[in-house]
Amino acid sequence: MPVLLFALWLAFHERVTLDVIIVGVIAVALVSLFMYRFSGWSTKKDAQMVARIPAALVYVCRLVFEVCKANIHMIALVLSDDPNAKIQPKIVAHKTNVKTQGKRVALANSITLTPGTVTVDVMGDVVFVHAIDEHANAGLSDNPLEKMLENMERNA
Amino acid sequence: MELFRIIAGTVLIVLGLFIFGVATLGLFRFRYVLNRVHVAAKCDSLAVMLICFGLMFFSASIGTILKLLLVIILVWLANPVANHLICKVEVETNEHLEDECEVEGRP
Repeated sequence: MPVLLFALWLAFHERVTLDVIIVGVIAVALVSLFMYRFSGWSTKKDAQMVARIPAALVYVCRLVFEVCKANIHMIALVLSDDPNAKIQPKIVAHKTNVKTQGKRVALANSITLTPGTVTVDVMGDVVFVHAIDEHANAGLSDNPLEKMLENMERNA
Repeated sequence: MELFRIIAGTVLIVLGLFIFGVATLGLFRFRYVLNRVHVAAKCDSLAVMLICFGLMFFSASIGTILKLLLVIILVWLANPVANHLICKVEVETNEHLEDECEVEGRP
């Protein structure tokens, strides 16, 4: 985490000079010290996070692909003659096997970004989803992103 | 190389603007909040990403590129959450939800 903070600091400064580095090191040290002490950061969690980076990158790539698909679907729908006639909106309660809180947040946000579905609410392990047509509703049960999240959980 | 950069940047920005245009049109073509949110949720995030990638081709320094990357991350995190809140308020406050769509389960 401190490395990430320092990279962010350098990114905001756009130049690498001695004064920037010195102030940066002091600021990052203070913030990290505070967070490790009071906010539950630990080197063990950091190591876990680093180990998860490859899986997360694959996930993000897949997410971008799904968003492109969703946009093509949406553009076709908006530019068709009568979009209101072509949809059968429905609110579905979808039960998920994803356990951890953070991954559920990722799942809810991913469902919003995948074709034809928007998350309305998450309550425990039930995600309430607004699906715009039958096709999107059917696609919800075999969502590739959800499978990836479950796999990540099993391997963690 | 210079030419390639300009062409790639322009194509990405124009594509992003096109998607933004469609999203705005979509907001007016659908008649109900929950259907409109679909357009806003999906098109905005992709359009912002495309425009930021396009701007990256035009930017001179690595710092600007990293900042644009941060903009993309922020929008991709904030956009679904904002849409999710709009949906939640609509579902929880609309008493005649069944008139607009089938309801299988309700929070």
